[in-house]
Amino acid sequence: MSETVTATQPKARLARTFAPQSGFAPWNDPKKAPIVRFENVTKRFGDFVAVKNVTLNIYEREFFALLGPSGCGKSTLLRMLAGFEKPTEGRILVGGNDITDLPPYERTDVNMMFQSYALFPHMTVEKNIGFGLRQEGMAKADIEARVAEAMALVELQKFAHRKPHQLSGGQQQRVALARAIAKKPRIMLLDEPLGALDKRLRQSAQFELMRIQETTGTTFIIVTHDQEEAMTVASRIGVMNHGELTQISTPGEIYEAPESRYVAEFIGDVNLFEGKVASLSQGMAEIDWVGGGRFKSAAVPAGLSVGQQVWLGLRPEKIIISLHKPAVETNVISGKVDDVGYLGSTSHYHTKVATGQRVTALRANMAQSAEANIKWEDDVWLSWPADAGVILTK
Amino acid sequence: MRRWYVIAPPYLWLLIFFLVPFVIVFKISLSDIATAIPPYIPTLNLSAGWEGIKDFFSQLDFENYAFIFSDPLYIGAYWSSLKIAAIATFLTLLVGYPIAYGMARAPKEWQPTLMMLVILPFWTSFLIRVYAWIGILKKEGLLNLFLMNTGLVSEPLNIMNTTTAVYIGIVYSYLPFMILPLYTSLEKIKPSLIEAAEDLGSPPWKAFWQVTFPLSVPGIVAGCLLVFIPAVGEFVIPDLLGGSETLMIGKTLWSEFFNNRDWPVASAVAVILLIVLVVPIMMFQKMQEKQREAGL
Repeated sequence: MSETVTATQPKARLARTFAPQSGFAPWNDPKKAPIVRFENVTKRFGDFVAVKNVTLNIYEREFFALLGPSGCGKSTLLRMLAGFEKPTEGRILVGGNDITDLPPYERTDVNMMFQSYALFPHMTVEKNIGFGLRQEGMAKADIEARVAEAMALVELQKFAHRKPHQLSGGQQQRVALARAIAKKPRIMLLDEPLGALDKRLRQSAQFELMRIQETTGTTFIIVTHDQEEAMTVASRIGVMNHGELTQISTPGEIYEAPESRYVAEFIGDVNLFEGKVASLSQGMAEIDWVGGGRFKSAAVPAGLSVGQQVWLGLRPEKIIISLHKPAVETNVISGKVDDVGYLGSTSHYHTKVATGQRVTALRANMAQSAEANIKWEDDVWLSWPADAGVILTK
Repeated sequence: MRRWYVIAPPYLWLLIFFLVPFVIVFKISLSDIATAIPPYIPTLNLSAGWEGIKDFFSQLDFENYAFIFSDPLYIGAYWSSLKIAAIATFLTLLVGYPIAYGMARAPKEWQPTLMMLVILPFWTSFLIRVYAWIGILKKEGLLNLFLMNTGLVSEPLNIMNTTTAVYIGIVYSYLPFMILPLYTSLEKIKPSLIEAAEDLGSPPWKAFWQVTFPLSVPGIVAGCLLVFIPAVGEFVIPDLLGGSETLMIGKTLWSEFFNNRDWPVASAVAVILLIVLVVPIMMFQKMQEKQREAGL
């Protein structure tokens, strides 16, 4: 019984991890041309380097998220695509055409939804949404039709004649979205579009954005510092740090196979075990942990060498916590429960291990029995299968 | 009761320093000129009791108003004051708008300094600053000296004692009153609004007319009224810089009081001026109220 469990579990995880949710993966198709391409783009403000040599391809119909802490350069990257900032070095291509030197008002393929919405306070909802169309010199009847269409898309018909200050935050957000989408751009840029909304509204707005992105077939590029938001909406995420793109992957890959400690720590919780590579064989690496003990890991990054300093990254939900020593020989360490965070459906167990570091294990609260109860100060065992962790070299 | 204490001081202030003087001026405007001290009749004689009061009121009439409206000199002076004030206000707006716009767009750390520079002239007496313009505008003044030396003109320009000089004086003196409200409304316009306009396909000059300008209208109205209202009754500037052809009601008022010593007519001129100005003042207040309601 137990054998079948261990045999099927890793397979299921691998399938979930690496297969894109819908088979949509133009970035894996070498014949596909990107709709947006940043080519060695660097942006400096005086001595400050906001964006450092970024090369990035974004494909048609993608929902791409630029994720990172504030000041990491993600907004600057977006503003360069919109035309508000000029790259110091490198170039930007849209549909194969170099648009680096085009002013924002000539970038017809790109429209932006602003963080503060930037709605024109002296215009009604209708006039706001029609603003971009009026600039094109479109016929009045066509403008009306397009505005009506955009308002219907975001369900704003009732508010057509209101001014922005008469709307709630959520309504304003939808006006801002409708105003940009009314131009029918090929690429929509969204700068922290949901940052001003409260948490519950934000969640429904995320699904709203995904719905609109799917129905219009527009390429969306969103800037956010909220990792959950990026995970929810994006087809791919570009994680940025200090002006550099540290990893570009699908949400699943970012979570399950981060390429650096920075990415692992920025997205979700992670336990890091520092150590040295002891041996490498048949797709299996052995790591000597600084806290004593030898770990086995099945996820071996290319170019790993014996003796190299590495970190084993383990997500809390992949660590099995038990009061009795499990009947396995590797990947088991002892610890003492330091803190328990009871969250209803799950519990977080913070345990102190040999190195003095805190390791967090997550357990679903399935049983109600007292036996399953792990308390403060309990001596516990932490274990994990060989394929649960990732080896991080930087 | 407690609230009364709070609102009493301003009301008392207005009563003593505005309403009472106004009632006195209004009363004088209904009187007749007399060679006496004070130079008008009637004066209230309370010792005569009720009869005295009745007698006093029976002597008041609107003769002076009728006189003013029948004399084209006064009507002309009012009309030309309004015209000069309106043109000067427009010129002040033309000069002030770019300055206010530049200030609002300047780096944040510069803005207090720029604001200081705008307010700085107030540290010198208004009168002295207007006198200084005589030195600049007169025939052998600094302006003509500069223009002659650079060869831009062959003969000195005759600006001093013309309406042009009055315009220059008003634009110069009232510029800060135009710049400050304009700056306040322009500074409130978020740069992201302009970016949004440009993003939606509007080139910068169009974005200015479609977004910046309409959003600065409250500042334009406030600035224009702050310049227009005092400019209509301006006396010092037309007196010092203007010539005989510059007819302004402030000057008329002054000569009625001090040359003709006709206090009743002078008072009537002042009361009419006040009534003429009440309209824009009320407009100004109404607009401010509306702005407050809109939360702008």
